[in-house]
Amino acid sequence: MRRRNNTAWAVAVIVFAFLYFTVPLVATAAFALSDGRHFTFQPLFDALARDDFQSAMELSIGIAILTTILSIVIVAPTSYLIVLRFRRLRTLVDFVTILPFVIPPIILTLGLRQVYGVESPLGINLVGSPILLIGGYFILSLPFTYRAVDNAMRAVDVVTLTEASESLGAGGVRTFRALILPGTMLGIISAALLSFTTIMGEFTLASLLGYATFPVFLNNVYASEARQATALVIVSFLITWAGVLALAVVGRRAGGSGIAVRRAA
Amino acid sequence: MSTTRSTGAPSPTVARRRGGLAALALLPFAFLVLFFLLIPAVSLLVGSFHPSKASGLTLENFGYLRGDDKSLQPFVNSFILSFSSMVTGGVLGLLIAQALVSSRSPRLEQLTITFSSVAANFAGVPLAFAYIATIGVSGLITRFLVGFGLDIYSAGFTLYSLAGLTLVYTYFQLPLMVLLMLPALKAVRREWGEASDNLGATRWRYIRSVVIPVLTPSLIASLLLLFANSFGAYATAYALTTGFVSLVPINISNVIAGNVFFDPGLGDALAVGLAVVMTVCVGGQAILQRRASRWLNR
Repeated sequence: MRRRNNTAWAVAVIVFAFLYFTVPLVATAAFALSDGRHFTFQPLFDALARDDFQSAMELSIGIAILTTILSIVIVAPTSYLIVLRFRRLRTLVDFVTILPFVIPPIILTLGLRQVYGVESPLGINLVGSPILLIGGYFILSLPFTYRAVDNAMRAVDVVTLTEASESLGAGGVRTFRALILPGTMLGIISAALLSFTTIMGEFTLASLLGYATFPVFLNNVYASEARQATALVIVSFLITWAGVLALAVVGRRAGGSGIAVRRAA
Repeated sequence: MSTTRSTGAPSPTVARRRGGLAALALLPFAFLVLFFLLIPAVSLLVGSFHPSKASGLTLENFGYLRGDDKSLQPFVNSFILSFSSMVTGGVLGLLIAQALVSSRSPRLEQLTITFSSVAANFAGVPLAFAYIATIGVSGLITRFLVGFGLDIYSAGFTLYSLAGLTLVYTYFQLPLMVLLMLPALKAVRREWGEASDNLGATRWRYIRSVVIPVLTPSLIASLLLLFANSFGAYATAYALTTGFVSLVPINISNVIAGNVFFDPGLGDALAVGLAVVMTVCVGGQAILQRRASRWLNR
Protein backbone atom coordinates (compact mmCIF):
# COMPACT_ATOMS: atom_id res chain seq x y z
CA MET A 1 0.00 0.00 0.00
CA ARG A 2 2.59 2.49 1.11
CA ARG A 3 4.97 1.31 -1.60
CA ARG A 4 2.47 2.04 -4.38
CA ASN A 5 2.01 5.58 -3.05
CA ASN A 6 5.75 6.01 -2.99
CA THR A 7 6.06 4.97 -6.62
CA ALA A 8 3.27 7.28 -7.81
CA TRP A 9 4.92 10.17 -6.00
CA ALA A 10 8.32 9.35 -7.50
CA VAL A 11 6.91 9.03 -11.02
CA ALA A 12 5.19 12.43 -10.73
CA VAL A 13 8.45 14.05 -9.62
CA ILE A 14 10.45 12.43 -12.42
CA VAL A 15 7.89 13.52 -15.02
CA PHE A 16 8.10 17.07 -13.67
CA ALA A 17 11.91 16.90 -13.90
CA PHE A 18 11.74 15.72 -17.49
CA LEU A 19 9.34 18.54 -18.52
CA TYR A 20 11.39 21.07 -16.64
CA PHE A 21 14.48 20.01 -18.56
CA THR A 22 12.93 19.76 -22.02
CA VAL A 23 10.41 22.62 -22.22
CA PRO A 24 13.03 25.40 -22.61
CA LEU A 25 14.75 23.33 -25.31
CA VAL A 26 11.50 22.73 -27.18
CA ALA A 27 10.68 26.44 -26.93
CA THR A 28 14.16 27.31 -28.22
CA ALA A 29 13.78 25.01 -31.22
CA ALA A 30 10.22 26.21 -31.84
CA PHE A 31 11.31 29.85 -31.95
CA ALA A 32 14.55 29.33 -33.85
CA LEU A 33 13.44 26.82 -36.45
CA SER A 34 10.32 28.44 -37.80
CA ASP A 35 9.64 31.39 -40.04
CA GLY A 36 6.40 32.13 -38.23
CA ARG A 37 4.36 29.40 -39.85
CA HIS A 38 6.58 26.67 -41.20
CA PHE A 39 9.32 24.55 -39.78
CA THR A 40 12.67 25.40 -41.38
CA PHE A 41 16.37 24.95 -40.72
CA GLN A 42 17.10 28.18 -42.61
CA PRO A 43 17.95 30.38 -39.55
CA LEU A 44 20.45 27.76 -38.42
CA PHE A 45 22.04 27.52 -41.90
CA ASP A 46 22.15 31.32 -42.14
CA ALA A 47 23.87 31.56 -38.77
CA LEU A 48 26.38 28.81 -39.58
CA ALA A 49 27.24 30.48 -42.91
CA ARG A 50 28.15 33.82 -41.35
CA ASP A 51 31.79 34.86 -41.54
CA ASP A 52 31.71 36.31 -38.03
CA PHE A 53 30.28 33.03 -36.70
CA GLN A 54 33.08 31.06 -38.31
CA SER A 55 35.84 33.35 -37.06
CA ALA A 56 34.31 33.31 -33.54
CA MET A 57 34.17 29.52 -33.59
CA GLU A 58 37.75 29.30 -34.85
CA LEU A 59 38.93 31.59 -32.07
CA SER A 60 37.03 29.62 -29.40
CA ILE A 61 38.28 26.24 -30.62
CA GLY A 62 41.83 27.54 -31.09
CA ILE A 63 42.02 29.06 -27.61
CA ALA A 64 40.36 25.97 -26.09
CA ILE A 65 42.85 23.60 -27.74
CA LEU A 66 45.92 25.70 -26.90
CA THR A 67 44.86 26.18 -23.28
CA THR A 68 43.98 22.52 -22.88
CA ILE A 69 47.38 21.42 -24.18
CA LEU A 70 49.13 23.94 -21.94
CA SER A 71 47.08 22.77 -18.94
CA ILE A 72 47.91 19.11 -19.45
CA VAL A 73 51.59 19.75 -20.16
CA ILE A 74 51.89 21.76 -16.95
CA VAL A 75 49.41 20.10 -14.59
CA ALA A 76 50.38 16.44 -15.20
CA PRO A 77 54.09 16.73 -14.26
CA THR A 78 53.27 19.12 -11.41
CA SER A 79 50.73 16.78 -9.88
CA TYR A 80 53.12 13.83 -10.34
CA LEU A 81 56.00 15.61 -8.62
CA ILE A 82 53.80 16.84 -5.76
CA VAL A 83 52.60 13.30 -5.04
CA LEU A 84 56.07 11.82 -5.51
CA ARG A 85 58.59 14.24 -4.13
CA PHE A 86 57.18 17.44 -2.73
CA ARG A 87 54.55 16.16 -0.36
CA ARG A 88 55.03 19.14 1.91
CA LEU A 89 53.81 21.42 -0.87
CA ARG A 90 50.63 19.39 -1.15
CA THR A 91 48.46 21.57 1.09
CA LEU A 92 49.68 24.73 -0.63
CA VAL A 93 48.99 23.40 -4.14
CA ASP A 94 45.59 22.04 -3.09
CA PHE A 95 44.74 25.48 -1.74
CA VAL A 96 45.93 27.28 -4.89
CA THR A 97 43.99 24.94 -7.17
CA ILE A 98 40.66 25.53 -5.40
CA LEU A 99 41.27 29.29 -5.21
CA PRO A 100 39.47 29.89 -8.56
CA PHE A 101 36.28 28.64 -6.83
CA VAL A 102 36.59 31.52 -4.39
CA ILE A 103 37.62 33.98 -7.11
CA PRO A 104 34.89 33.67 -9.76
CA PRO A 105 35.55 34.69 -13.41
CA ILE A 106 34.22 38.21 -12.89
CA ILE A 107 36.81 38.92 -10.16
CA LEU A 108 39.61 37.33 -12.16
CA THR A 109 38.65 39.50 -15.13
CA LEU A 110 38.83 42.67 -13.03
CA GLY A 111 42.21 41.64 -11.65
CA LEU A 112 43.67 40.69 -15.04
CA ARG A 113 42.39 43.90 -16.55
CA GLN A 114 44.04 45.93 -13.78
CA VAL A 115 47.39 44.18 -13.95
CA TYR A 116 47.69 43.64 -17.74
CA GLY A 117 45.49 46.44 -19.07
CA VAL A 118 46.51 49.64 -20.79
CA GLU A 119 47.64 51.16 -17.50
CA SER A 120 49.49 48.06 -16.34
CA PRO A 121 51.48 48.76 -13.14
CA LEU A 122 53.97 46.10 -14.27
CA GLY A 123 54.31 47.70 -17.69
CA ILE A 124 52.93 44.55 -19.35
CA ASN A 125 50.05 45.42 -21.66
CA LEU A 126 48.44 42.17 -22.84
CA VAL A 127 45.16 43.63 -24.14
CA GLY A 128 44.13 41.77 -27.29
CA SER A 129 46.89 39.19 -26.92
CA PRO A 130 45.83 35.53 -26.78
CA ILE A 131 48.28 35.13 -23.88
CA LEU A 132 45.89 37.00 -21.57
CA LEU A 133 42.94 34.76 -22.43
CA ILE A 134 44.98 31.54 -22.33
CA GLY A 135 46.50 32.46 -18.96
CA GLY A 136 43.09 33.34 -17.55
CA TYR A 137 41.52 30.14 -18.86
CA PHE A 138 44.37 28.05 -17.47
CA ILE A 139 43.46 29.43 -14.04
CA LEU A 140 39.67 29.07 -14.51
CA SER A 141 39.95 25.41 -15.46
CA LEU A 142 42.65 24.62 -12.87
CA PRO A 143 40.26 23.26 -10.18
CA PHE A 144 38.88 20.73 -12.67
CA THR A 145 42.07 19.82 -14.50
CA TYR A 146 44.18 19.50 -11.37
CA ARG A 147 41.58 17.47 -9.45
CA ALA A 148 41.08 15.06 -12.37
CA VAL A 149 44.81 14.47 -12.90
CA ASP A 150 45.62 14.35 -9.19
CA ASN A 151 42.91 11.74 -8.51
CA ALA A 152 44.33 9.58 -11.32
CA MET A 153 47.90 9.95 -9.94
CA ARG A 154 46.76 8.69 -6.57
CA ALA A 155 44.55 5.93 -7.97
CA VAL A 156 47.49 4.24 -9.74
CA ASP A 157 49.90 4.71 -6.82
CA VAL A 158 52.62 6.53 -8.73
CA VAL A 159 55.04 6.32 -5.81
CA THR A 160 55.32 2.53 -5.98
CA LEU A 161 55.37 2.56 -9.78
CA THR A 162 58.22 5.06 -9.80
CA GLU A 163 60.23 3.13 -7.22
CA ALA A 164 59.85 -0.06 -9.26
CA SER A 165 60.80 1.71 -12.47
CA GLU A 166 63.82 3.49 -10.99
CA SER A 167 65.11 0.36 -9.30
CA LEU A 168 65.12 -1.20 -12.78
CA GLY A 169 67.29 1.69 -13.91
CA ALA A 170 64.84 3.95 -15.73
CA GLY A 171 65.33 7.70 -15.39
CA GLY A 172 62.70 10.13 -14.13
CA VAL A 173 61.61 11.39 -17.54
CA ARG A 174 61.42 7.90 -18.99
CA THR A 175 59.39 6.68 -16.00
CA PHE A 176 56.97 9.55 -16.46
CA ARG A 177 56.56 8.98 -20.20
CA ALA A 178 56.47 5.20 -20.29
CA LEU A 179 54.60 4.43 -17.07
CA ILE A 180 52.92 7.37 -15.40
CA LEU A 181 51.36 8.98 -18.48
CA PRO A 182 49.77 5.76 -19.81
CA GLY A 183 48.68 4.80 -16.30
CA THR A 184 46.87 8.07 -15.70
CA MET A 185 45.65 8.57 -19.28
CA LEU A 186 41.93 8.40 -18.46
CA GLY A 187 42.32 11.06 -15.78
CA ILE A 188 44.28 13.21 -18.22
CA ILE A 189 41.60 12.82 -20.91
CA SER A 190 38.95 13.79 -18.35
CA ALA A 191 40.98 16.86 -17.45
CA ALA A 192 41.34 17.78 -21.12
CA LEU A 193 37.60 17.41 -21.76
CA LEU A 194 36.73 19.47 -18.68
CA SER A 195 39.14 22.18 -19.76
CA PHE A 196 37.90 22.19 -23.36
CA THR A 197 34.19 22.37 -22.50
CA THR A 198 34.72 25.00 -19.80
CA ILE A 199 36.54 27.23 -22.27
CA MET A 200 34.10 26.71 -25.16
CA GLY A 201 31.27 28.09 -23.01
CA GLU A 202 33.16 30.84 -21.19
CA PHE A 203 31.68 34.31 -21.61
CA THR A 204 32.82 36.57 -18.77
CA LEU A 205 36.56 36.86 -19.43
CA ALA A 206 36.26 36.90 -23.21
CA SER A 207 33.48 39.47 -23.26
CA LEU A 208 34.99 41.93 -20.79
CA LEU A 209 38.54 41.62 -22.06
CA GLY A 210 37.39 42.09 -25.66
CA TYR A 211 37.74 38.72 -27.42
CA ALA A 212 35.07 37.72 -29.99
CA THR A 213 34.71 34.08 -28.97
CA PHE A 214 31.62 31.97 -29.73
CA PRO A 215 29.59 32.92 -26.59
CA VAL A 216 30.47 36.59 -27.10
CA PHE A 217 29.39 36.40 -30.74
CA LEU A 218 26.18 34.68 -29.66
CA ASN A 219 25.38 37.51 -27.28
CA ASN A 220 26.19 40.22 -29.84
CA VAL A 221 24.24 38.71 -32.71
CA TYR A 222 21.05 38.42 -30.63
CA ALA A 223 20.34 42.13 -30.83
CA SER A 224 20.05 42.09 -34.64
CA GLU A 225 19.25 38.44 -35.45
CA ALA A 226 17.41 36.89 -32.52
CA ARG A 227 16.29 33.88 -34.53
CA GLN A 228 19.79 33.06 -35.74
CA ALA A 229 21.20 33.51 -32.24
CA THR A 230 18.55 31.22 -30.81
CA ALA A 231 19.34 28.65 -33.50
CA LEU A 232 22.97 28.77 -32.33
CA VAL A 233 21.77 28.07 -28.78
CA ILE A 234 20.98 24.61 -30.12
CA VAL A 235 24.57 24.29 -31.35
CA SER A 236 25.81 25.39 -27.94
CA PHE A 237 23.54 22.86 -26.29
CA LEU A 238 24.87 20.08 -28.51
CA ILE A 239 28.44 21.03 -27.57
CA THR A 240 27.49 20.75 -23.89
CA TRP A 241 25.87 17.35 -24.53
CA ALA A 242 28.90 16.07 -26.41
CA GLY A 243 31.20 17.19 -23.60
CA VAL A 244 29.09 15.57 -20.87
CA LEU A 245 28.69 12.31 -22.80
CA ALA A 246 32.40 12.12 -23.57
CA LEU A 247 33.18 12.71 -19.89
CA ALA A 248 30.66 10.06 -18.88
CA VAL A 249 32.27 7.52 -21.23
CA VAL A 250 35.77 8.29 -19.94
CA GLY A 251 34.52 8.36 -16.33
CA ARG A 252 32.80 5.01 -16.67
CA ARG A 253 35.94 3.45 -18.13
CA ALA A 254 37.91 4.86 -15.23
CA GLY A 255 35.42 3.25 -12.86
CA GLY A 256 33.68 6.41 -11.69
CA SER A 257 30.08 7.44 -12.11
CA GLY A 258 30.87 9.94 -14.83
CA ILE A 259 29.35 12.81 -12.90
CA ALA A 260 30.53 16.13 -14.23
CA VAL A 261 29.89 19.20 -12.15
CA ARG A 262 31.01 22.50 -13.45
CA ARG A 263 30.16 25.87 -12.04
CA ALA A 264 27.76 28.08 -13.88
CA ALA A 265 29.40 30.72 -16.04
CA MET B 1 55.97 3.56 1.73
CA SER B 2 58.56 6.28 2.14
CA THR B 3 61.05 3.97 3.85
CA THR B 4 61.69 2.01 0.64
CA ARG B 5 62.36 5.15 -1.34
CA SER B 6 66.08 5.41 -0.57
CA THR B 7 66.90 1.89 -1.82
CA GLY B 8 66.35 2.87 -5.45
CA ALA B 9 68.42 6.05 -5.33
CA PRO B 10 71.88 5.49 -6.87
CA SER B 11 73.74 7.97 -4.67
CA PRO B 12 72.86 10.97 -2.51
CA THR B 13 74.35 13.47 -4.98
CA VAL B 14 72.37 12.13 -7.94
CA ALA B 15 69.22 12.15 -5.85
CA ARG B 16 69.81 15.74 -4.84
CA ARG B 17 70.48 16.83 -8.42
CA ARG B 18 67.28 15.11 -9.54
CA GLY B 19 65.45 16.85 -6.71
CA GLY B 20 66.73 20.15 -8.07
CA LEU B 21 65.66 19.28 -11.60
CA ALA B 22 62.27 18.19 -10.30
CA ALA B 23 61.85 21.53 -8.54
CA LEU B 24 62.61 23.24 -11.86
CA ALA B 25 59.74 21.28 -13.43
CA LEU B 26 57.37 22.94 -10.94
CA LEU B 27 58.35 26.41 -12.13
CA PRO B 28 55.93 26.75 -15.09
CA PHE B 29 53.01 25.95 -12.80
CA ALA B 30 54.23 28.42 -10.19
CA PHE B 31 54.80 31.04 -12.87
CA LEU B 32 51.27 30.80 -14.32
CA VAL B 33 49.61 30.76 -10.90
CA LEU B 34 51.67 33.74 -9.79
CA PHE B 35 51.05 35.91 -12.84
CA PHE B 36 47.48 35.00 -13.70
CA LEU B 37 46.00 34.37 -10.27
CA LEU B 38 47.97 35.64 -7.29
CA ILE B 39 49.21 38.99 -8.63
CA PRO B 40 45.75 39.97 -9.99
CA ALA B 41 44.14 38.93 -6.69
CA VAL B 42 46.63 40.91 -4.61
CA SER B 43 46.20 43.89 -6.94
CA LEU B 44 42.46 43.90 -6.21
CA LEU B 45 42.99 43.57 -2.50
CA VAL B 46 45.48 46.45 -2.44
CA GLY B 47 43.34 48.53 -4.79
CA SER B 48 40.32 48.17 -2.55
CA PHE B 49 42.13 50.06 0.23
CA HIS B 50 43.34 52.85 -2.06
CA PRO B 51 41.50 56.15 -2.13
CA SER B 52 40.42 57.24 -5.61
CA LYS B 53 42.12 60.65 -5.70
CA ALA B 54 44.96 60.49 -3.19
CA SER B 55 47.65 58.22 -1.85
CA GLY B 56 47.66 56.22 1.37
CA LEU B 57 45.13 53.77 2.70
CA THR B 58 41.42 54.19 3.24
CA LEU B 59 38.17 52.36 3.87
CA GLU B 60 36.15 54.78 1.74
CA ASN B 61 35.64 52.21 -1.03
CA PHE B 62 33.83 49.87 1.35
CA GLY B 63 30.65 51.96 1.36
CA TYR B 64 28.56 48.82 1.59
CA LEU B 65 30.02 48.06 5.01
CA ARG B 66 28.70 51.41 6.25
CA GLY B 67 25.27 50.66 4.84
CA ASP B 68 25.70 53.15 1.98
CA ASP B 69 22.64 52.47 -0.16
CA LYS B 70 24.21 52.76 -3.59
CA SER B 71 26.95 50.19 -3.02
CA LEU B 72 24.89 48.00 -0.67
CA GLN B 73 22.07 47.50 -3.18
CA PRO B 74 23.96 45.03 -5.43
CA PHE B 75 24.80 42.89 -2.40
CA VAL B 76 21.18 42.90 -1.24
CA ASN B 77 19.96 41.94 -4.73
CA SER B 78 22.63 39.27 -5.20
CA PHE B 79 21.74 37.88 -1.79
CA ILE B 80 18.01 37.74 -2.63
CA LEU B 81 18.67 36.08 -5.99
CA SER B 82 21.15 33.56 -4.58
CA PHE B 83 18.94 32.74 -1.63
CA SER B 84 15.76 32.32 -3.67
CA SER B 85 17.41 30.21 -6.38
CA MET B 86 19.12 28.19 -3.63
CA VAL B 87 15.69 27.47 -2.10
CA THR B 88 13.89 26.64 -5.37
CA GLY B 89 16.77 24.61 -6.78
CA GLY B 90 17.50 23.04 -3.40
CA VAL B 91 13.96 21.92 -2.58
CA LEU B 92 13.10 20.66 -6.08
CA GLY B 93 16.52 19.06 -6.53
CA LEU B 94 16.21 17.25 -3.20
CA LEU B 95 12.75 15.97 -4.16
CA ILE B 96 13.99 14.68 -7.50
CA ALA B 97 17.06 13.04 -5.97
CA GLN B 98 14.86 11.32 -3.35
CA ALA B 99 12.41 10.20 -6.05
CA LEU B 100 15.33 8.63 -7.92
CA VAL B 101 16.53 6.80 -4.81
CA SER B 102 12.97 5.57 -4.13
CA SER B 103 12.57 4.42 -7.73
CA ARG B 104 15.49 2.01 -7.22
CA SER B 105 16.08 2.00 -10.96
CA PRO B 106 19.75 2.23 -11.91
CA ARG B 107 18.88 3.09 -15.52
CA LEU B 108 16.61 5.96 -14.54
CA GLU B 109 19.29 7.15 -12.17
CA GLN B 110 22.01 7.06 -14.82
CA LEU B 111 19.74 8.87 -17.27
CA THR B 112 18.93 11.59 -14.75
CA ILE B 113 22.59 12.00 -13.86
CA THR B 114 23.42 12.56 -17.53
CA PHE B 115 20.54 15.02 -18.01
CA SER B 116 21.49 16.80 -14.78
CA SER B 117 25.12 17.13 -15.84
CA VAL B 118 24.03 18.72 -19.10
CA ALA B 119 21.56 21.09 -17.44
CA ALA B 120 23.97 22.03 -14.64
CA ASN B 121 26.53 22.96 -17.30
CA PHE B 122 24.07 24.67 -19.62
CA ALA B 123 24.37 28.18 -18.21
CA GLY B 124 25.28 31.61 -19.43
CA VAL B 125 24.27 33.25 -22.70
CA PRO B 126 22.56 30.21 -24.32
CA LEU B 127 20.46 29.60 -21.21
CA ALA B 128 19.31 33.22 -21.15
CA PHE B 129 18.16 33.05 -24.77
CA ALA B 130 16.47 29.69 -24.24
CA TYR B 131 14.43 31.25 -21.44
CA ILE B 132 13.50 34.29 -23.50
CA ALA B 133 12.12 31.85 -26.09
CA THR B 134 10.30 29.98 -23.31
CA ILE B 135 8.85 32.58 -20.99
CA GLY B 136 9.89 35.94 -22.46
CA VAL B 137 7.25 38.46 -23.58
CA SER B 138 6.33 36.29 -26.58
CA GLY B 139 7.76 32.99 -25.35
CA LEU B 140 6.15 29.63 -25.91
CA ILE B 141 4.85 29.21 -22.34
CA THR B 142 3.80 32.86 -22.14
CA ARG B 143 1.61 32.50 -25.24
CA PHE B 144 0.38 29.11 -24.05
CA LEU B 145 -0.80 30.67 -20.78
CA VAL B 146 -2.40 33.61 -22.60
CA GLY B 147 -4.40 30.97 -24.48
CA PHE B 148 -5.81 29.98 -21.08
CA GLY B 149 -6.58 33.59 -20.24
CA LEU B 150 -3.54 34.07 -18.03
CA ASP B 151 -1.29 36.91 -19.15
CA ILE B 152 1.65 36.70 -16.75
CA TYR B 153 3.26 39.88 -18.08
CA SER B 154 0.19 42.03 -17.44
CA ALA B 155 -0.02 40.33 -14.05
CA GLY B 156 3.37 41.88 -13.23
CA PHE B 157 5.81 39.09 -14.01
CA THR B 158 8.88 39.83 -16.07
CA LEU B 159 11.79 37.60 -16.94
CA TYR B 160 14.15 40.56 -16.55
CA SER B 161 13.66 40.92 -12.80
CA LEU B 162 15.02 39.13 -9.73
CA ALA B 163 12.01 36.79 -9.87
CA GLY B 164 12.69 36.06 -13.54
CA LEU B 165 16.39 35.52 -12.86
CA THR B 166 15.50 33.15 -10.02
CA LEU B 167 13.48 31.09 -12.49
CA VAL B 168 16.36 31.00 -14.98
CA TYR B 169 19.03 30.23 -12.35
CA THR B 170 16.89 27.35 -11.09
CA TYR B 171 17.59 25.63 -14.41
CA PHE B 172 21.22 25.03 -13.39
CA GLN B 173 20.75 25.09 -9.60
CA LEU B 174 18.21 22.25 -9.52
CA PRO B 175 20.32 19.68 -11.42
CA LEU B 176 23.40 20.71 -9.42
CA MET B 177 21.44 19.90 -6.25
CA VAL B 178 20.46 16.51 -7.71
CA LEU B 179 24.10 15.69 -8.49
CA LEU B 180 25.29 16.85 -5.07
CA MET B 181 22.61 15.14 -2.95
CA LEU B 182 22.26 11.83 -4.78
CA PRO B 183 25.35 10.23 -3.18
CA ALA B 184 24.29 11.44 0.28
CA LEU B 185 20.73 10.14 -0.08
CA LYS B 186 22.01 6.80 -1.32
CA ALA B 187 24.18 6.55 1.80
CA VAL B 188 21.03 6.36 3.95
CA ARG B 189 20.82 2.60 4.26
CA ARG B 190 17.53 0.78 3.94
CA GLU B 191 18.62 -1.41 6.86
CA TRP B 192 18.64 1.60 9.19
CA GLY B 193 14.94 2.10 8.55
CA GLU B 194 14.25 -1.59 9.09
CA ALA B 195 16.33 -1.58 12.27
CA SER B 196 14.43 1.37 13.66
CA ASP B 197 11.12 -0.30 12.69
CA ASN B 198 12.19 -3.40 14.56
CA LEU B 199 13.04 -1.32 17.60
CA GLY B 200 9.51 0.06 17.52
CA ALA B 201 10.32 3.59 16.37
CA THR B 202 7.71 5.54 14.42
CA ARG B 203 8.46 6.72 10.88
CA TRP B 204 8.78 10.30 12.11
CA ARG B 205 11.07 9.28 14.95
CA TYR B 206 13.29 7.48 12.41
CA ILE B 207 13.46 10.53 10.15
CA ARG B 208 14.14 12.86 13.07
CA SER B 209 16.74 10.74 14.84
CA VAL B 210 18.51 9.03 11.95
CA VAL B 211 17.86 10.55 8.51
CA ILE B 212 18.08 14.22 9.42
CA PRO B 213 21.29 13.99 11.50
CA VAL B 214 22.98 11.93 8.77
CA LEU B 215 21.90 14.19 5.94
CA THR B 216 22.19 17.64 7.52
CA PRO B 217 25.91 18.23 6.84
CA SER B 218 25.57 17.21 3.15
CA LEU B 219 22.38 19.21 2.80
CA ILE B 220 23.85 22.44 4.19
CA ALA B 221 27.08 21.91 2.24
CA SER B 222 25.12 21.51 -1.01
CA LEU B 223 22.98 24.57 -0.31
CA LEU B 224 26.11 26.65 0.38
CA LEU B 225 27.53 25.55 -2.97
CA LEU B 226 24.29 26.51 -4.72
CA PHE B 227 24.34 29.90 -3.02
CA ALA B 228 27.94 30.54 -4.09
CA ASN B 229 27.19 29.26 -7.58
CA SER B 230 24.63 31.97 -8.24
CA PHE B 231 26.32 34.73 -6.20
CA GLY B 232 29.31 34.78 -8.55
CA ALA B 233 27.40 34.12 -11.78
CA TYR B 234 27.65 36.88 -14.37
CA ALA B 235 26.97 35.66 -17.92
CA THR B 236 23.35 34.55 -17.50
CA ALA B 237 22.29 37.72 -15.71
CA TYR B 238 24.12 39.94 -18.18
CA ALA B 239 22.76 38.24 -21.31
CA LEU B 240 19.24 38.36 -19.93
CA THR B 241 19.17 41.95 -18.70
CA THR B 242 22.06 43.49 -20.72
CA GLY B 243 23.37 44.73 -17.40
CA PHE B 244 20.21 46.50 -16.22
CA VAL B 245 19.97 44.71 -12.92
CA SER B 246 22.06 45.66 -9.93
CA LEU B 247 23.97 42.55 -8.90
CA VAL B 248 27.52 42.39 -7.53
CA PRO B 249 29.03 40.73 -10.67
CA ILE B 250 27.15 43.15 -12.98
CA ASN B 251 28.41 46.16 -11.00
CA ILE B 252 31.97 44.86 -11.20
CA SER B 253 31.58 44.47 -14.95
CA ASN B 254 30.50 48.12 -15.20
CA VAL B 255 33.80 49.11 -13.61
CA ILE B 256 35.74 46.88 -16.02
CA ALA B 257 33.88 48.31 -19.00
CA GLY B 258 35.07 51.75 -17.90
CA ASN B 259 31.68 53.16 -16.95
CA VAL B 260 32.48 56.62 -15.56
CA PHE B 261 29.86 56.32 -12.83
CA PHE B 262 31.87 53.58 -11.18
CA ASP B 263 35.32 54.27 -9.82
CA PRO B 264 38.02 51.59 -9.77
CA GLY B 265 38.30 51.57 -5.97
CA LEU B 266 34.64 50.65 -5.67
CA GLY B 267 35.11 47.83 -8.20
CA ASP B 268 37.97 46.42 -6.13
CA ALA B 269 35.96 46.73 -2.92
CA LEU B 270 32.99 44.95 -4.53
CA ALA B 271 35.33 42.19 -5.75
CA VAL B 272 36.79 41.78 -2.25
CA GLY B 273 33.26 41.59 -0.77
CA LEU B 274 32.27 39.00 -3.36
CA ALA B 275 35.41 36.95 -2.64
CA VAL B 276 34.60 37.02 1.08
CA VAL B 277 31.06 35.70 0.42
CA MET B 278 32.50 32.97 -1.81
CA THR B 279 35.15 32.05 0.78
CA VAL B 280 32.56 31.68 3.54
CA CYS B 281 30.37 29.46 1.32
CA VAL B 282 33.14 27.33 -0.19
CA GLY B 283 35.01 27.07 3.12
CA GLY B 284 31.86 26.13 5.03
CA GLN B 285 31.01 23.63 2.33
CA ALA B 286 34.45 22.00 2.56
CA ILE B 287 34.24 21.65 6.35
CA LEU B 288 30.71 20.21 6.27
CA GLN B 289 31.57 17.88 3.41
CA ARG B 290 34.37 16.40 5.48
CA ARG B 291 31.89 15.68 8.28
CA ALA B 292 29.40 14.27 5.79
CA SER B 293 31.98 11.89 4.31
CA ARG B 294 31.85 9.88 7.54
CA TRP B 295 28.65 8.35 6.21
CA LEU B 296 29.33 8.59 2.51
CA ASN B 297 32.47 6.51 2.18
CA ARG B 298 31.28 3.16 3.39
